[in-house]
Amino acid sequence: MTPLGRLLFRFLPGWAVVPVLAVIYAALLTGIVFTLRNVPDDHVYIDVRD
Amino acid sequence: MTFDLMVMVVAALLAVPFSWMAPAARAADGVAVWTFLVLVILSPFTAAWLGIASILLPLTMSVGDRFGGRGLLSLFWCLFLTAALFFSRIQDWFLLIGAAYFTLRLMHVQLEWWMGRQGRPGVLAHLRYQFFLPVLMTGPINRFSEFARQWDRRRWDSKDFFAGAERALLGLAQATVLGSWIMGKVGDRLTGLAGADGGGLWFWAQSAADWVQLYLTFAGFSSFAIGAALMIGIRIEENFNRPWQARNLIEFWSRWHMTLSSWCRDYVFQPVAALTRMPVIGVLAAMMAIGLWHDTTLYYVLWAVWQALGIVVSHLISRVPWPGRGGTMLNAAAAIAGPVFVAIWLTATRPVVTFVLEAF
Repeated sequence: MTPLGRLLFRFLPGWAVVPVLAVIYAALLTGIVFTLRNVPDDHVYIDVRD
Repeated sequence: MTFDLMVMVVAALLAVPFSWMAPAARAADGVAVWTFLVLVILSPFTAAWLGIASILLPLTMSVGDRFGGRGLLSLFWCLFLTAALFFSRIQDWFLLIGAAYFTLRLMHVQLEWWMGRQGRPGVLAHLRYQFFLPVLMTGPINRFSEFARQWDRRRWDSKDFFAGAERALLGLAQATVLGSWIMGKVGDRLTGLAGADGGGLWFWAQSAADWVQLYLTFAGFSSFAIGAALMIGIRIEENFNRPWQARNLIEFWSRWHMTLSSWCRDYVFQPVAALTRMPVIGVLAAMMAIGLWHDTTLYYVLWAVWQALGIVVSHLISRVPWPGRGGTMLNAAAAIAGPVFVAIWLTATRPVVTFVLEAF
């Protein structure tokens, strides 16, 4: 089990851990894709060309 | 989001299946070749520069081993690499992806050899170390010996693989969603307020927001790199260790961008302090190195002086014989006052430095 899964296991019943984990991962991925598409370059603090 | 960064994130993740599909003995070579190809696509000059430097460095070391002159050789490499890094910042055509990071890795290998703490690496081993995609774009500035040891100990562990995948995902979300998107909007709002109000407290708040954004973005990308490397089966040094808990600025710099801090401690602070017998000069030199590593401007020279002053102040406070020192109440007060002092000093950096620049 992943660290986040272990954390959830402390607060949720065993059967709920995997579905909740899946929802969290999906939300994170959606957020990342949304940000990659919408955030202007000048909001990105790190420039790899440095 | 910059195109280069997106390509490198995707490419770092693609390195994972390559590393496990290749024969175990050739996995590191596979990742290095993949990294080289990605660099060729993004910046052929960077690929050529890093490739040539990675080959020449151990070759010149072998000349030094045979004929002597280690000190001169190391001095030449350090000056040459530093000059190239600074030159890349003033010439647009001389763009080097990840130059700030691989320059310090090259110097680390050279200086460890000079100090006699590490033998001359083989050319292939050195190429594997320099061309490791997960850490190429934003660090951490990992060390050669530990990297080589990790490849020797590497074996499949599903627990590590999924922990790495989760960390990479969380890190990327932290860097993009929290660091770039949310804090970008907060920064825009504060910039508007600071402009309308003419500075003052809003300017200070803007400086604080910048530190938060820098932490979220940088620690996020570091987590992504560490997670992606763990998916490959390699443990990379941590870069941040809850810096907001630091009780003074000395502790803060040992918790913030730890691989850069430890690099400057080993190769700037310790030699300068030993040569001058004045630790305060060593602190100033180390902070100057950190400042100029970020950007070669007068702002970062003053930034370094301010940080060095903060470290000296922290040191002096720690030597004050407070009455009842060590008591529970005093420890509890220090646990609160320390991080508050650190936060005030750091967020005051930009207002103070800007004030000094404008005044003179």
